[in-house]
Amino acid sequence: MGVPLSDGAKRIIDKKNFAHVATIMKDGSPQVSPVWVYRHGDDIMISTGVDRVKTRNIQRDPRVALSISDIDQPFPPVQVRGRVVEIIRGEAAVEGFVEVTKKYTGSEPAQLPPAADRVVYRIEADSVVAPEK
Amino acid sequence: MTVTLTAAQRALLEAPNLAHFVTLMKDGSPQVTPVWVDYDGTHILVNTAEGRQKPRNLARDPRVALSVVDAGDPYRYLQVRGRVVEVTREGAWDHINRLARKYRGPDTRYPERPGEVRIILKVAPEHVSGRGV
Repeated sequence: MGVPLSDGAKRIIDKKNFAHVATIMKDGSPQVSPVWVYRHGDDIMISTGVDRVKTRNIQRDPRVALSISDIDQPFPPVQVRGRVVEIIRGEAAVEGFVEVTKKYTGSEPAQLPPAADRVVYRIEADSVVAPEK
Repeated sequence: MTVTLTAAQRALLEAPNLAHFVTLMKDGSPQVTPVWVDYDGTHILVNTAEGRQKPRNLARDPRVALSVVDAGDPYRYLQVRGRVVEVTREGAWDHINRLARKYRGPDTRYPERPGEVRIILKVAPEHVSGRGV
């Protein structure tokens, strides 16, 4: 069952802060990479390329964790453990790319990637440690 | 096999950039938190305290991962997968104060809490990748 994000978690996620998303490799070991994220309600959205280690990992094991530090005040951070509950592909994934690019750069992407190259992961949190406000 | 970091990778760790450090929970799912780090020429050093989630996880499974983004250039980042090969109390208070000076400024001392036992986690990097480093 998902849990809601605190106001403090939403505030830090909604800024131009990187999220570091951890996934599980085939052998059970962990992997982590910096990603751009955006938010739909209490869900955390990651827009990324399909040809990535984390894509293969998430398809095998949807359990992920995220760590986000505010660039202006790194501690306390947002720490989330959860699951990828939806994998969004095609044109909807390109829309996610546009949304996240606008969030981080303040403008529309210079060009759109092929729909086949993009994916968006919707993450539902099972555990959230973050500032209240 | 332990990988030796390149000069550019090492410089990223020597600058006051946060690392996001993953350990594995009992059920094999990932947990990730921001940490201060440095590099001793062989191992990436993380400082934590006995009794916390990270050392409890590491006692079961020493496999870890971390990612670091260059605060001055977000297109430069480092990703490491490896394992904790040693956990030691020796020099751990000196080490956390060294990290406090690195990340918080030359006059900083790490606040001592009654009963807290600091430990250094020595991470042997086994797979190193990234961008611009």
